[in-house]
Amino acid sequence: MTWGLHDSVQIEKSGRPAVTVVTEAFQAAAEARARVLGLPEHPRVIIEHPLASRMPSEVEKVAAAAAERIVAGLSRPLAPSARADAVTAAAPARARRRQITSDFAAGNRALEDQGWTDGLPVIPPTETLVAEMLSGTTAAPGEVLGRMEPLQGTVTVEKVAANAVMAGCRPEYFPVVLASVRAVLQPDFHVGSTACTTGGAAPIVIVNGPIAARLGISGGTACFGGNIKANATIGRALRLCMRNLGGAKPDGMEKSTQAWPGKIACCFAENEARSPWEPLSVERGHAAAQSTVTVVAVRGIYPLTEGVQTTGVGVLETLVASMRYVGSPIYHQMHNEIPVIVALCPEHAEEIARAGFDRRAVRAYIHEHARVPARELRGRGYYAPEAWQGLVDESDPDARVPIVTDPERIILVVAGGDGRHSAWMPAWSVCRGATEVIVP
Amino acid sequence: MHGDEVTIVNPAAEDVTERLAPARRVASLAGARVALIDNSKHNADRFLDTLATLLVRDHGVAKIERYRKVSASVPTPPETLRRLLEASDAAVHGVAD
Repeated sequence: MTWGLHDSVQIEKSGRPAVTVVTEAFQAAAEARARVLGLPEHPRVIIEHPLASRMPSEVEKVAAAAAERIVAGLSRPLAPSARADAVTAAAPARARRRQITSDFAAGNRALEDQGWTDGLPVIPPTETLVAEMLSGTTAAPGEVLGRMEPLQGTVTVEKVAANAVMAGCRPEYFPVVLASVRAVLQPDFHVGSTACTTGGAAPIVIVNGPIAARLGISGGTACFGGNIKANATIGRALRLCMRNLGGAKPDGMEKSTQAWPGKIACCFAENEARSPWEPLSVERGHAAAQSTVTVVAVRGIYPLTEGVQTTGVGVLETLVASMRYVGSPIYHQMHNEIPVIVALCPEHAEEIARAGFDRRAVRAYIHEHARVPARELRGRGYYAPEAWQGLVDESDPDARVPIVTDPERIILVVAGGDGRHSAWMPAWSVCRGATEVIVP
Repeated sequence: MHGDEVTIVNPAAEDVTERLAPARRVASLAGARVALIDNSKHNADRFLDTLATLLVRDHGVAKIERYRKVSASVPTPPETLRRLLEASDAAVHGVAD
């Protein structure tokens, strides 16, 4: 929907009339998006939802019933819209101020009424606290980092600081928050689609380098699960920026069918101290002294337990068996060159390393073995033979579909505390993830 | 500031959208060339197949240009869009589902 409206508005800008066909479930989001794009009167033709599950003959009927309205949208002159917001104005370089009550509970209700919270209590972003947050960076408050899709809010350092205060961050966390926001603004992250998809993608922030230990960003016990101040508040600050600057909220343009709790907050560090290998950031060419964030929108966390096998290969076999199942949404989207995150707990990582695997060998093993026979996917939503051309030989009845296009797409980290539980996380649809260096 | 109030910094977008003018509509589709952009959602192709048939049969559309996106979650590449528009007088995008 996000990009459908975008394409149609581009067409209108080029001087050709266009119509966007939308099911009723997306009617409100499409209206909001058309307004953001500056063309609220762009014709949308609304059809019944859903279309995807209909029989062929029903789809033809729906199309026939919509045809006259589509023709009208292309050929009938449009009445000019009289919306009050139909004026041009740039976002102010300095965020507007407003007064709210100093009573904590009543102040929180005032912020909720504006739609600015994620439903949990926030710290009101007072001028004083925002100024303190800004002291955590050398970046100027008015610096523009970009525009957050799909709402296209201008992202200034000051706006990010206000959201970081609300999330509960300490000023020393702020460089990590800024790096995370810069990461999702990279084009390959597709932050607008991430917000609008029915696929329920949430950004996870992986921190590497010495800053993690310095700030207490945990890569150890319970590191995915919140309940650790730095992890919880940094992840939440990013999500509040996506909500308040990008419009990613369920009564706005967020359209996840179900979503998952990573939409509240998900940030953890690589457990570099207990990893038998060099850190992810070093593998990707950064100096060990440099701290980075790697942010990927994922569909969920898939856990696996292996407490019986004691050889590294045995652990890897259980891991790839977990990744190799028909219900995984990544197989029909891997051609978009999206990654999968594999987070090995320290005990599993140690056993795998002892068996002679370095990072490259682990990634090669997973790429070779995490494959589903194409025949098992056939007829399912995860079957995408057109997209697999050159990657899967459909003429081979035993052809297997890899989980990612190549081993480089496997993001391997060591994370977690004691115990024998690892996890993998499939990236969402088109999100290739993004890495940013954390700048003080 | 009153004693019982605090000043907060607006954390949300304050941008006001630049307003665009919609394109002039075609007087009639008779003889027109129409681009159909398929967002690749399931059944979008079938919907547009039927639409193409009706546009030609009932409305005299002279030519249909088709393009299928690799994913509904990405824009049509600018070069592809340019090529489509050079060959078309109007366009339909579907189906957001």
